[in-house]
Formats: sequence, C-alpha cells, structure tokens
Amino acid sequence: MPEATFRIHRYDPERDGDRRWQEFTVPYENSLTVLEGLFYIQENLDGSISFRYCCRAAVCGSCAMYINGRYRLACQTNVKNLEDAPITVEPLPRMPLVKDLVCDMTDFFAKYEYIKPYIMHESQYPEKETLQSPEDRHKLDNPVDCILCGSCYSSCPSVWGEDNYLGPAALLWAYRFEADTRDEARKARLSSFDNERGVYRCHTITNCVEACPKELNPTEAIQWLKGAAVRRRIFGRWK
Amino acid sequence: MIYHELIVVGGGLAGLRAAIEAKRAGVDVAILSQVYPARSHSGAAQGGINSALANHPDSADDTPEKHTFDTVKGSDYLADQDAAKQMCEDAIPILYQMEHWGCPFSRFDDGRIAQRPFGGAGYPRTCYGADKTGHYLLHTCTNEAIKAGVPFYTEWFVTDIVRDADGRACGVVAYDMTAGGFEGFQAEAVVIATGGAGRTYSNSTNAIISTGFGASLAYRAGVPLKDMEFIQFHPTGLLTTNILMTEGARGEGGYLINGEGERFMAKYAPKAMELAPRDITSRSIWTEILEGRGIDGKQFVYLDLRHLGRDKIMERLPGIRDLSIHFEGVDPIDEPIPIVPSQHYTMGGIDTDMDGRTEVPGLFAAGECACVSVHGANRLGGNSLLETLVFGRRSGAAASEYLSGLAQHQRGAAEVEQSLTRMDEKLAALTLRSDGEDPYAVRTEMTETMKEHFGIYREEQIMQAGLDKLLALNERVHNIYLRHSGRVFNLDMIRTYELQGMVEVALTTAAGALNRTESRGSHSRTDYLTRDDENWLVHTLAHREPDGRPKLDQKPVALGLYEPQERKY
Amino acid sequence: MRQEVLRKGEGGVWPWFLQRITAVLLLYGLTVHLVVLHVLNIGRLTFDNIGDRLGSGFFIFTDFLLLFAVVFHGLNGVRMVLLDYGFAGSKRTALDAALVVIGVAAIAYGIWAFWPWLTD
Ligand SMILES: Cc1cc2nc3c(=O)[nH]c(=O)nc-3n(C[C@H](O)[C@H](O)[C@H](O)COP(=O)(O)OP(=O)(O)OC[C@H]3O[C@@H](n4cnc5c(N)ncnc54)[C@H](O)[C@@H]3O)c2cc1C
Repeated sequence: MPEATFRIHRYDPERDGDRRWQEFTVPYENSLTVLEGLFYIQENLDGSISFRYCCRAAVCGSCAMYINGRYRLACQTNVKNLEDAPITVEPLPRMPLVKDLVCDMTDFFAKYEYIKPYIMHESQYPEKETLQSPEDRHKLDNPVDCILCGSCYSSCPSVWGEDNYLGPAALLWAYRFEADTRDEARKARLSSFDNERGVYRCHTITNCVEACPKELNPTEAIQWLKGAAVRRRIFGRWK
Repeated sequence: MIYHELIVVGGGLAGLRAAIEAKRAGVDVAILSQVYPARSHSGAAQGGINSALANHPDSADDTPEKHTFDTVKGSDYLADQDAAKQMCEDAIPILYQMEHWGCPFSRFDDGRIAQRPFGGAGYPRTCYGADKTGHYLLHTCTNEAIKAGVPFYTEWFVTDIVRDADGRACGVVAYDMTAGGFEGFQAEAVVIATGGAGRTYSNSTNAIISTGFGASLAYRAGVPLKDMEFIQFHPTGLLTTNILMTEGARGEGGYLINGEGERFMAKYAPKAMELAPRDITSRSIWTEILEGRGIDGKQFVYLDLRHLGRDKIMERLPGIRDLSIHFEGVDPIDEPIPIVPSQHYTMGGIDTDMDGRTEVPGLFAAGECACVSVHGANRLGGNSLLETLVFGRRSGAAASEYLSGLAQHQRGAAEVEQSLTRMDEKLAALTLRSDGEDPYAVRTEMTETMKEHFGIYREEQIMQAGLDKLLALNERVHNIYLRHSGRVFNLDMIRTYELQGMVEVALTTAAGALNRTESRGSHSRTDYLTRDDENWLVHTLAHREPDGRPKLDQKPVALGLYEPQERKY
Repeated sequence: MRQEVLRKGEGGVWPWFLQRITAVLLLYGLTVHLVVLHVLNIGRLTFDNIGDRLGSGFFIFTDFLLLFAVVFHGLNGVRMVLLDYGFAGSKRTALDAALVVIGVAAIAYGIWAFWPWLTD
C-alpha cells in the first residue's frame, strides 16, 4: 500500500498556544485527497486535530488551506498530484487562528456582509421573472461561482497591511451585483466600496487571481468597479 | 443564556427561507448552523428546481396540476396528494421570488428563466443555473437573510432540543465550536432544518455533515420519523468518490452505456430511456452490474456525454466537467465517465404537516430532514430544492403565527438550564473514560451495514442480519470514549455526538424496510416484487423507545386526486 | 465590530480619478518637452530663446498645468504608498495635512520662480 506523509500545522489555544509542526503517515489504496488524509489522521492517529469540512466536492468553500505552498481546497487536492513530500498543510496564511488548520473568518464574512451582497430593487417587480438576456447573464458567470473560501483574501498584501480593507472576495461580490442588470442599488452600495478601504486600496497585485481555486478574477472585477465609481459619482451614469 | 423568539436550526435553503419569512413577519429569529449558511449542503445541488413556468418551447401547456401528477406518480403513490398539490402550486410564485431576489438562473434567448428536461417529468420544467443551481439558490437565500437582518450563529452545533413542563419546544442547547463550550438558547419555538441523513450510508453523494443528526434530535424530543425506509439511490455517482453527476447530464442528452456498449435503458424504460425516474434507472444499472454487464464485468457503467460536444458541455455542464476531471481524472469531452448508483436522498424524515408542524407544539421542521410527505417512495429530481423553499417558507409563516397566538412568553428557562447541565455532564463523562469503543470503528461498521444490507435491492434475511448488527451497534455506541477533551473546535466530540444520533436514525430505516413487505418506489424487495396497495398504501411512523430502538406505527396517506396506477415510463 | 469601523468610509474616488488625469497630463507635458527641446529647437538653446518661449501664453499654460500635475501626482503617489504602511486615523489626518503643506509650498515656489515672466 502506498503511503503519504503529512506535515501539519498545529496550534491549540488551550495548551501552550505555540505553533508547531507534526508529521503523520497515512496509508491509502488507489487515491487519497488531502481532506481524506486529514480524516484518516483525525480518526486513527490523533483525535485532537481540527479542520473545516462540509461538501467534499469543491463547492462549499470550507476546506481552503495552504497546501505545499499553494492555496488549494483540501477536498479537491489529490496527493498523487502533489510533487513535494512531505505534504505540508497550513491554515490560510495571515489569518487569525482558531485551532490547528482552522482560522477565524469573522472579519472576512463581516466585510462580505458589509458590501450589501444582495439585489436592491426600488421599482415594482414584474408579475413574472425580470427578463435578462443570456449575454447580460453571462457577465455574471465569473463572480457567481465564488464559494467564499477566503483564499484570495488571505493572499492579498493590501489586506495584510490594512485590517479594514474589504479585500478581493467582498469586492468581487460587489461587482457581481453592480454588474447585474436587475440591481438598482445606486448610491446605497457604491458608498460601501468606492473609498480607500474599498476598491482604491487594490494595487492590482493579482495574488488573488493566482490563489483562487475556482480560477476567478477578483482583480479585474475591482478595476471595473473603479471605472464604474467614476462613471457614477462624477458623470452620473448609473448603468 | 441567549433568547430569541424563534430559533431556526440549520442554514440550508429550508432554514434560510423559514428565517426570512419569520423575520419579515416581525419575529425575532436567529439561525444556528454548524457551518456558515452559504456552505450548507444545499449548495451542492446541481441540476435544477422544478416549477411549471412553461418557459420551455416544449412545455407551453405545462401546469401545476401536471407537475402534481408527475410528483404523485413518481412517488409511487405514497405522497400525500394535498401536500404535493400545494407544493406544485407554490412552485410558481416561489421561483419568481428567487429570481427577484437575484438568483442567477440561466436564461433562454427571450430572457426568461431556462428549463431543462428531468427524469420522471412529462415536460421540461426544471429551472436551472448552469449545473450549479443549488449553489446559486443558496447564496441568493443567504444574501436575502443578510438583507432581512437575520442574525447567524455560525459554527454552533445544536446538541439538544428542549421542551418545557407543558411539552412545548422552548429552546435548544448548542456547542459553540470556535469559542468552545455549550450555551443554552431559550425560545418560544424551534424550526429544525438540518438536511438529510445520507452519511448513514458509506456510499453517499451527500456532504460530510449530512448525518441525520438534526432529525435524531427531534426524534429524541418525541417526534416520530416517517417513511425512513425510502432511501433514494442516484443512478450516477462518480465511481471512486460517489460525488454526484447531475441528472441534468442525462437531461441534456447523456447516455448510459454498459460493458457491451449498449444503451441498456432501452430494455427497462423504452420511452423515457435515460430519463426514467431515479429508482427505476438505479435498479436498471444495478441489474446490469449484477448480471455481469458492468464495464469489464466490474461494478460500474459509463455516463457518456461525448456526443453532446464541447460547446454544450462547457455551456450547460461546466461544473460536472470540473468535478469529473478533478475527482475521477476523466474529461467528459473526451472520455465516458465511470459511474455507480449511490445513496442520494432521504425521502423520509421528521413527521410534519403541510405547514411544518410536528406533534410537539412549537417544534417545526422543513427541508430534507422533514417528511411532509411530497416525495413518497421516490423523489423526482428537482423537487427537493423546491420542497426546501416551499415548506421552509410555510413553516416560517406557521411558526410566526404560532408565536402570535401564545398566551405567555419566556417560559422554560429552567428546562434549558437543566439540559445545559446534562450536556456538560455528558461531555465530562465521555472525556473521563480512558478507553472503550472506538467511535470511528462503530461509524464504519454502521455505514457499511447500511450500504450492504439496505441498498438498492432488499431481502428479508439480509435485512434481518443488518438490523441485528445495528442493534448491537446501538449498544456499543454508549461505551464510546473521546480521545480529545479540548473545548475549541473539538471534532472528536462533534463526530461522536453525531454518531449516536446516526445509529438511531439508521435503525428507523432498517426497521421500516424490514417491516414493509412490498416493493414501492425506491424500496424494492426481491422477496416481495410488487406494490401492495391493499396493505401498504400507508406511511410508516417510527417512535423512539427510551433505549433508542424504534417502535413502528402507521399513518394513512392523503389520496383523493389521482387513483394509484401501475407506473410505466 | 468590524462593520462599524468600515461604516466610517473614507472618500477616494477623486484622488484616484485625479491620479489618472494627472498621469495623462504628465504624458502630455513630457511629449511637449521632448518635441520642443529635442526636435524643434536643436542647437537654438540660448537664454533669449528660452525667455521668449517662457513668456508665451501657450507655455505658461502648459507649464502651470505641469506644475500642478507633478505636485499632485507625486504627493498622492507617496500618500498611497504610506497608506499601505498603516497610516490610519489621526496619523492619516496628519499625513494628509503634511502633504497639503508640502504641495502648497511647492506650488508657491513654482509660481515665485515664474514670476518674472508672468509680470513681463
Ligand atoms: C449532490 C447533490 C445534488 C443535488 N441536486 C439536486 C437538484 O439538482 N435538485 C433538487 O431539487 N435537489 C437536489 N439535491 C437535494 C437537495 O440539495 C437537498 O435535499 C436540499 O438542499 C436539502 O436542503 P436543507 O435546507 O434541507 O438542508 P441542508 O442544505 O443540508 O442544510 C442543513 C443545515 O443544517 C445545519 N445543521 C445540521 N445539523 C446541525 C446541528 N446539529 N446544529 C446546527 N446546525 C446543523 C447545517 O449546518 C446546514 O446549514 C441534491 C443533493 C445532493 C446531495
């Protein structure tokens, strides 16, 4: 049976609070994902290990981690596709820690919720659906696939420097609604992101693009928002 | 102790929809969820949601009545017909509401919501957003809940539902995963929306957190579980991981191919072919495999999409392609996908009426954990997302109404305190023990037992042996010990608690299946080949005995619209 | 809570937009400079020539535009860099004030240097 060695980041706030590394060896038959490896360790080798999980099919965003120096979803990462051994597993870098591989996502979600991530609609809705052409719908293809895993946020140097920067994920969602033909938010959402804690803090470093496990492009969305803010604030063109 | 008028346990589609409804009715409501709501299992749904909008060129004369008929026929006549009718009627406004809330559905050229054909449906009425419909709907509802101002208690794992001296639900106790420790929540009413019990099987398409533990809490609190023997096996799970390949793949024209290269569905459902209902399709695949016609004689067949062409796959099924590349190493544009029928859906659940009410006053349930019942013995693809929204909304409304009718508020604080102490003591007892049963060995044995003994084909002796094993596990589960006693994010504890509930839920499936001496929908017995309407056109109810074993009972099915007929596709 | 902090949003659309505008002006100024000095006037650079040029309306306009653009673009650039190093709250107010002082001084100096040709 082949084996994989995992080198895992450990941190327990209830014990010494030190960060350390621990190695485990996991046997497997045909295929093994990093998430399956973590479960093997938790069930058989060390019951104290903590990590997040849910769908195990790359759609819920729970298990984003820093694996062998890259942002990946643990469930989607097969050990046979990893070149380096041992397999190094860390929580999302530069995020506050909760325990082991679990980081604190409170700020991340607070910022997401702050940009008003919902359709705002003033006028009367039609009786049936609002019509939207397939082309207009396609403009949303990229942002609606975001699973809020936090990889881009953790990778962004502008976030590292400024606690109050909204970060790529929240701004990608702002774009998702601003670009939607059905949205009528106007100033209500604009003021939450067209400031120096919002889009103007992005210096197009594009770490987020590289980090995203869904291959989305927050940087491009943020550039679009900067242009839209000028069009709206200065030239009064809302759509 | 924390107080809210209404506690919703579960942040999936059903829980979110219930909470939004209550909040907008002026109720102080909060959601407790084991994961951030947008990470719930509803997000994994792919294919779509049914509603007779009649947008598709081939469905111009589709109506809610026809949708009801398909649902009832699909259920093998075990669905309550009044509930099915209600769901199919509510389907139209609720779909438009989702669109108004911003759900990014795919569109037809004229700008209307796109629809595709799905199994067991007379018309193409499954509305979709590419192959990520659940993800889109879940984000839409999470966002609408944010807009409505519903507070989320994220990563709070509920371990008990509390009833006051009069028997009313009066709160819950939950484990705060990130801070560590238990906390009591006092409430006037509780809605349970904790999703399915797929993980009682080892070959499930469900999320790892879909354990059925939430349903077990209601079961413990005295509500019977209904029709638990009906477990849906989805025809197309990926071979190595059981990750779902949506029915939409066949709706878009995908073929099922056996080891001899034939489209074998021609033998079993000559008209509907690959789009026969799931019970029939899964059985057909399994028969092919048992008779040696799997690929290379092995236990799988192919789902072939190659003839659809790159463009259609990239446009309509991009998620399927990604999953199949990442998890099976197969690009469906170039190769057929190896698939195997996999546990997929729990038709049964907490016994409720059409407004989510249970036998316990103040306790409501909605979504996959509940059983209204609209799916009967077999659920149609695309009806489950619909169920979560329709009955989530209705239970939110019913709970609000219940609250406004209450004579006296803020009762049951003492009972919540007591339960909190019990939870702390239970944890202490588990951590004090230094050896005992290994919870993960018990878990594996249970899930394997369910897979082997209560699978697609069922038979008396095999099931009896399975039930005996489960009864033994139900004893062993009480001698479990914890290896980790920390308070913060203790997975060992969460998974052990879950296990105790899972075994009890599995027992209801096992006992119900053994008891039902007929074949109906997903429950197909090799020793009783036909449906027996004379004796078995009834719901099974399982009440919990103090030792966790089920005591079975029955409940009539609401008929009246359609006479049971033989199902042919 | 984080959201309360965020709600005290700070402006930013004007500095960002002006940074782009001044960048365009700088390109314009650079082009004029290169064309005038290195194409049109090769070998004709005497004090009188330069003096004449500086007195013409077109050059006064261009040079003032350039003066404002350079000062704004440069100082705002420095400000963007420093903001990334954690200038927030009162530190940030102090930074903004200091940059305004420097900017005003630089422009005043520029005007003073030009004065003879303006009053000519
Ligand atoms: C892969 C897949 C694809 C599917 N595709 C389709 C489809 O195309 N069309 C369709 O109609 N249906 C589909 N279904 C079925 C459908 O997705 C589910 O039935 C439905 O989403 C269930 O929603 P829910 O709200 O009831 O529960 P879930 O979405 O599972 O949510 C459960 C919630 O409860 C919480 N929870 C659970 N236990 C606890 C606890 N103890 N304490 C606190 N919180 C708890 C969880 O955190 C979660 O928020 C699919 C299912 C699967 C598995």
